[in-house]
Amino acid sequence: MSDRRFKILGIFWIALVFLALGIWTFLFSIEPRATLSFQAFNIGQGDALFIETPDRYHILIDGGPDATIIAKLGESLSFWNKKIDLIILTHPHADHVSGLVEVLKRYQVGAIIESNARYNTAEYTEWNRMKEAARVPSYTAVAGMRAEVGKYIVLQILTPFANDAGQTFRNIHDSNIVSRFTYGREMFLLMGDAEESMEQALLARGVLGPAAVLKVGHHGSQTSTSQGFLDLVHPAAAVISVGEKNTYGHPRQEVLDRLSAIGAKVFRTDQDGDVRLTTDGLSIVESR
Amino acid sequence: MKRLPLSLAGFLVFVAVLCGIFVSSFFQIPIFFLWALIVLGAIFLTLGITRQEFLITGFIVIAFSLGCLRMLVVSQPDDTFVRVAGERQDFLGEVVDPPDVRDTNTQLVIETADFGSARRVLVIMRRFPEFLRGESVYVSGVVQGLPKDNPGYRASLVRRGISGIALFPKLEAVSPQPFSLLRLLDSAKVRFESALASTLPEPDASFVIGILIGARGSIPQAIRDAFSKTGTSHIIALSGFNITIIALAISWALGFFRLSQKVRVAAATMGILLFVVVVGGGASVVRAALMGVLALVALQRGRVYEMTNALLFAAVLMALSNPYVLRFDVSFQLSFLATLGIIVVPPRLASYFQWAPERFQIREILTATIAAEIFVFPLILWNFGTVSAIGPLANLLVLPFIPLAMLLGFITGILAMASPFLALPIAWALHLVVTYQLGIIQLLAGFFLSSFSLPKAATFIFALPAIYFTVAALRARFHPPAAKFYV
Repeated sequence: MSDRRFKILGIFWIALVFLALGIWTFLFSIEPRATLSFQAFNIGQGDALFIETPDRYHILIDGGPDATIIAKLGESLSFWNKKIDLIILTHPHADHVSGLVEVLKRYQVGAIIESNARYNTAEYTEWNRMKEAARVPSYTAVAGMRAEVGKYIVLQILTPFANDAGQTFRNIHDSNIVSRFTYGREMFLLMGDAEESMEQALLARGVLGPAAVLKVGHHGSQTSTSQGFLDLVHPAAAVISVGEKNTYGHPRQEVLDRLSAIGAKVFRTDQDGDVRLTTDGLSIVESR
Repeated sequence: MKRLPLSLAGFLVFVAVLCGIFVSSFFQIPIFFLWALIVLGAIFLTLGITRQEFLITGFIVIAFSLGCLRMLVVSQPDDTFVRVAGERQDFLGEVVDPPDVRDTNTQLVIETADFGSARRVLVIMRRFPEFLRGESVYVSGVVQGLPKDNPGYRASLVRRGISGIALFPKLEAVSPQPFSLLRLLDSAKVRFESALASTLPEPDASFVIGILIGARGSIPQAIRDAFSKTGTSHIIALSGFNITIIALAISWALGFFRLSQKVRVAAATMGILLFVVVVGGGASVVRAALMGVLALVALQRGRVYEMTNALLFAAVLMALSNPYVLRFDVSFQLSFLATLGIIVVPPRLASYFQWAPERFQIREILTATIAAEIFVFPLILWNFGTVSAIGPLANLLVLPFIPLAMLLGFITGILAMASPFLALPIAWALHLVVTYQLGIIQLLAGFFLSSFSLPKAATFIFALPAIYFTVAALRARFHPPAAKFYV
């Protein structure tokens, strides 16, 4: 065989091996699974929750304070996946929205659910500019909204109670989005930064019920997670998304006490790192 | 004494300038002493009318003292404008460097004339709002002096001409970026980076951008820790050597089209030029590229005297324009030593590498790699803190793939700027290469041996081969009979 043909054949073979590896990882990345995975990323002081449905739809709830979220998504998504199907922005505080700006830059985003309240910070302005530039449809969240994500997951929006688009709030937490995901008989209740007044309003409306997993409101601050609320929701697992050595003193000891008193297993991103819970719709398993 | 050739005289003068700059970056040499040296040099010059060695001595003495002077005139950081009590200060300034976007903050260098003479202030801010080089910004906040308890950090700030730091001040854009060539380069860099970032997942994207541009800021802390544990932090510092290997790869690929050697070298040089433009033409990129091209030419021509002088001349120019690079810029040091190794070592090793196949330029790449490593390895051990016991193994496994990752990253970025879809196959190959590298580094960082470190003095043992080659080259230079290696 001549030298030149040997060269060309060698390159051809190497390319073929690469191609085969690529095709197989791609096929595996779209194969449906039997479980839903829920992750609370350890992104410092802030929130970033990531849900992958059994049929591989991807939902991101908040994005944390900085670009760390991108590295976390890189670990969780396959190389071929450049799409986040739904983003929920619970409220426009920097520790929830900043990372999402980076997500908009790098990923194709299917839709956004947010309160669209008026809020004036550099991060939120950038977020609005980016989502318009990328032409991502934005839906204003109102209690009662319901969406099916893929074949198996139902998403319900529990707050805000009114259409807050364009309104100004003295405390932007009053326009926070509380959402609930249902898969089989398991429920995930994601509180965002909801405070006690919002919990009371939800209780008064009678829309709450028991949930298997609670994303604890406002990083475990004492302004949230009241006793009456916990008595009704009674979660088996409570996830607190909180930064190590944060200056706010989150999570508060009294909140941790209340959670352990009702027998909830507490997961903290500052101590446990990325928290990952999976469920087949019948029971919840912690997985690393 | 017989007459010294002109090239040797030039060699000595260049070395003298570099010595001057290097020595005075350690000690502040009194100015009257420098004047005395210059007068002494002048006396030698006048004596040199009759004796050649006096003439050359005169030039060497003057070159040395000019080097010292250059270091002296780089003004010491003048932070007298900093208020002691941490009072707020308002000033208007211009963003002078491209913003350094890190994973948790962004750093701007703002030049302002509001404190008397022109001063540069480092502003550490949150990720948003974003600013561009050339924009005028109104800053309102507390300006601190440079930290005194961290000499390395202080030196790195002084090197960039910074004399104050403002942490999270209030910032307001005043006037937009005017048009200029630098801004065009900036936007090329921004487009290149965002094309890479939208094609590759993290941490691949920040790693590839890191090795292409020499910026470590955006790489996640956990991975940076793994780098320093395994003694591989230097792979982020842009080195001319990697650029040489990329150029060799380009010239090899062009071999398919049966082009002549000259055309291939020219095309590879054009490729490097394109690389410099696309990644934004930062000072360290330009320096590394220049050294890389020098090494490429040295590999093709093999003229040791000529190439050493060219390298020294380039180093003198770079050190005169920014005297701090000599002692404080690891990227410059890596490039310089790697290129020196590629010039000096291969002629002496050529006879031992007859067994390596010529095909795919394997022999050339192999000798160049070994030559560069011999010179760079002690520097790496010295500079990157602990001499990790796992370091040699980690470097051996990871380093050979750095030029490949750079080349694939460059191609991916260019293709992705046109169409992200087009870039996918190359990006996939790149993803595998980067996954391998980061995987090895993180795996080895977890080994118990990685926390076991050798004393810093052990570096000296690793420096012995490099010292041997340098001494041998110097001897050959001064005693022409030994110059049988040099054609």
